[in-house]
Amino acid sequence: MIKQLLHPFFIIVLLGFNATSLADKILVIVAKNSPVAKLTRQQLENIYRKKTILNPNNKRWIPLNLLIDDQLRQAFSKKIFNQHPEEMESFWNIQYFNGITPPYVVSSNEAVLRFVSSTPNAIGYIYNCYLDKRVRVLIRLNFRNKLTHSCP
Amino acid sequence: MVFLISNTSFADDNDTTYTYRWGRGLNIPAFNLNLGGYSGISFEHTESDPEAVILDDISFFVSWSPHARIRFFSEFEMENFISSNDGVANFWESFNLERLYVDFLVSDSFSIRLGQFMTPVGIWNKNPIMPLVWTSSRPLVTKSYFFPSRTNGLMLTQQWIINNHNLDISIYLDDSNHLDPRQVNHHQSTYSEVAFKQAIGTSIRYKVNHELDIGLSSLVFKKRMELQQTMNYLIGLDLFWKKNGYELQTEWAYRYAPERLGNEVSGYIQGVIPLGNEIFAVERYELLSGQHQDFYTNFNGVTHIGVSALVWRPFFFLVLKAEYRFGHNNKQLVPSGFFSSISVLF
Repeated sequence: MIKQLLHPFFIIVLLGFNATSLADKILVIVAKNSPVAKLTRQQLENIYRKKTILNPNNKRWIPLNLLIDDQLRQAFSKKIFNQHPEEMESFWNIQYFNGITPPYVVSSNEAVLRFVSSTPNAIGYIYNCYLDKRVRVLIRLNFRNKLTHSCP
Repeated sequence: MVFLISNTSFADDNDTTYTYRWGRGLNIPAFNLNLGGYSGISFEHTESDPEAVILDDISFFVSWSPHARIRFFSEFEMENFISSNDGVANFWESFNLERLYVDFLVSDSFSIRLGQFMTPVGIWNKNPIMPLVWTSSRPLVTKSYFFPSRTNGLMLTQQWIINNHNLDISIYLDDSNHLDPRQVNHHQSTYSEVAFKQAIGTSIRYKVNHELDIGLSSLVFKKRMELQQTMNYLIGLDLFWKKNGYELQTEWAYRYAPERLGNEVSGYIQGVIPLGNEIFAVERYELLSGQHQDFYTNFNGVTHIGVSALVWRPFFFLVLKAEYRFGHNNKQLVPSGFFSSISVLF
């Protein structure tokens, strides 16, 4: 029995389960030395819509998004705007007409962490299992539907 | 530090990378500069006019933010540059400075805008370009004969968050008589007639929830048009609702002029239904009642207008439209006919 469990196939499956977890929280993060102590949901939405430009230090907010088809981006968008990222394009079309471009896009949770931790005015979101000492959590977003994803 | 991402990159202040993305323009992060624009071709065939294919717009945006608190924006365009009936227009006759302003952020919730900008009445007039609206034809209540579409002056905007809902209030002052840069153009007669002479207005916008927002506008103005330099009072109400691809949009305005120009009420209600594969059905009903004047018309009465359209948005930056306009007592103002267009944000 033990020998069967040590079969490479089972080991791979078990490792796979370890790397995958069910999460129901997304963390909105800023740099550890950010001047922002807290945010409301509406303030967060305004920052991500670029309706609010300045942070409390009167510096330009730099909101970060993940790739449009990233599951976390989809969940974040639905939670904050009640729209999928694809539906937000019509909003950004209007903003473009007024000279405002969407938030920058980075490709991974780790990229969000690296940028946010080294940029005092940046704000991003990550899975809770990516949290480390480089950043500070401003908002925890809870989800009814569990998100399946890889953890570091 | 550079993160390269899908069609977009960003960099620190010393980086000189730039990216181009359809519908979002050329972005140069190191200078906080964005260049872009839109273009559109339309075909129309109405009961009053011969068929025409028109290169409606080639428009360019420049947005530059040299400081966190300051942003310059300009839009200039070639309008009706090429037409199947009139050929190629003179460059300077087609060239328009559409918008030119600077925004100064006094705080994260209070801003000052100085320059030429879209008059913030209702929904349509603030974002009236072909790729952003659902129909090729424009409702009467949003046309510059009802209220001039551009303001030259100063606008103060305060934003509040009340119980997690956005409330924005703007007050603006216009002195186009002295500030309108288009007056110096040699074709000033075209524009001066539908421009403000002077105006003062307010715009209130309240976001009820993710799906619904409502607006209230008021405006006191004089037009520069020789025969219409009388005081006008306007009040407007609008509503926009959107959910799961369905949209409902309505705006109404009442204009009153004690001398000569009388009063009129006009508005529309427009619904959008997604049909799948990025195809949408659009239906609009418009009403105009009262004394309405444009260049050629002195209309007094009631007109009803309907518009049925099919719109295909294969990509977010590309829109193809086909529509039929019909109505009652509308021939003098907006004749019935077929309209279609292709427009693109670039």
